[in-house]
Amino acid sequence: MHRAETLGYAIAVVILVIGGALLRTPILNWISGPAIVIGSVATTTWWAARRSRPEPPR
Amino acid sequence: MSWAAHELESYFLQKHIRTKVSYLAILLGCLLPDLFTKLPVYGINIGDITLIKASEPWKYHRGWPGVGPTHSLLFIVLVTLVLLATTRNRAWSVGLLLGGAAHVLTDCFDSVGTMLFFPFTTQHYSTGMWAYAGQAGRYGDAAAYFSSFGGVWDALWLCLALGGPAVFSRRYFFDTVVPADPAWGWIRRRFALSDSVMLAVYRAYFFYGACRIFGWFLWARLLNPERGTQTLDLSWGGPAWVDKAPSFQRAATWGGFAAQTAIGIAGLTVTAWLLWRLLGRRLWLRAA
Repeated sequence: MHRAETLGYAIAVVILVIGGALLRTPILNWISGPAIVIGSVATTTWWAARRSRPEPPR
Repeated sequence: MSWAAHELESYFLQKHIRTKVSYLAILLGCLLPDLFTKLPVYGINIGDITLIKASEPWKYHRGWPGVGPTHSLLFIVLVTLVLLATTRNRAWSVGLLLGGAAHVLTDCFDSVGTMLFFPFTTQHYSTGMWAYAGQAGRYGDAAAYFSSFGGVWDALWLCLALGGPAVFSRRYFFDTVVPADPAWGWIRRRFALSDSVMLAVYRAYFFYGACRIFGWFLWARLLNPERGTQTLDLSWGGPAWVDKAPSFQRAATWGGFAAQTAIGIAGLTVTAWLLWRLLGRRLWLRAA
């Protein structure tokens, strides 16, 4: 789960720095900026939890 | 004006305040003076049309008449009292007071400064470290800020925030930040958040603030179409190429400056003491 969190923060950093330099205000504003961080971590941790769930018996 | 400093200073304060305090209130205080006042500084651009832009943004944003009083210490004290009366929460009140005061003091470093002691004096306090360039529009201001000591100022706050890395740890968040503020419990229940996402909510403004420095700096130095003329200028009060806001509401002599400052300090001290005796103390004792 910690690796998924780290991945989430890394994705957020790339979006904010590269996307921010290219798109500027739509990314780098006080609402969407923090929302990108929260959204990235929420998505990667949800994805990691889903992957680690055991397969149901057939 | 400061850009990322206002987000980053909230973590610095959280780390160094040795009493029970709400991080969310510190953050709100750090953002409060600009929260409902910044839009007319740049205006809203729709194609070639600019709406609700102040004709002299520096006067509107920091002066009087204008919304300059939001950048004064008494405004922060009054909002804190209202918050203490409505929430009855000491941790929130202390957080808002310190966060708001930090914003007001941080903005003293640009060329326009703030009216610290309004309404007792309209004198502005400013070190003039970098040029206030709100009148150049959002992108003009970004280019000026991140080509001058403004960017260095943000980098300093990033270093100060990183100087206490424990404040970002999972343990610190769940052992110190969450127990100090019932709002975190409400957020968790209301939105059914996991521990990881709760921690991301707490860290979000740090990542946003830090990345904002690099994103805007990259744009200003590598992508800005006018980067050939809008060059890096690390001189005091720079950059020299920007249409700098003139200094105003400032005494012409040091004697006048000292007199206005004395009036301001005396007025603020007496008013704060009266507010505490008549209202604040009662509200504080009633609060938890």
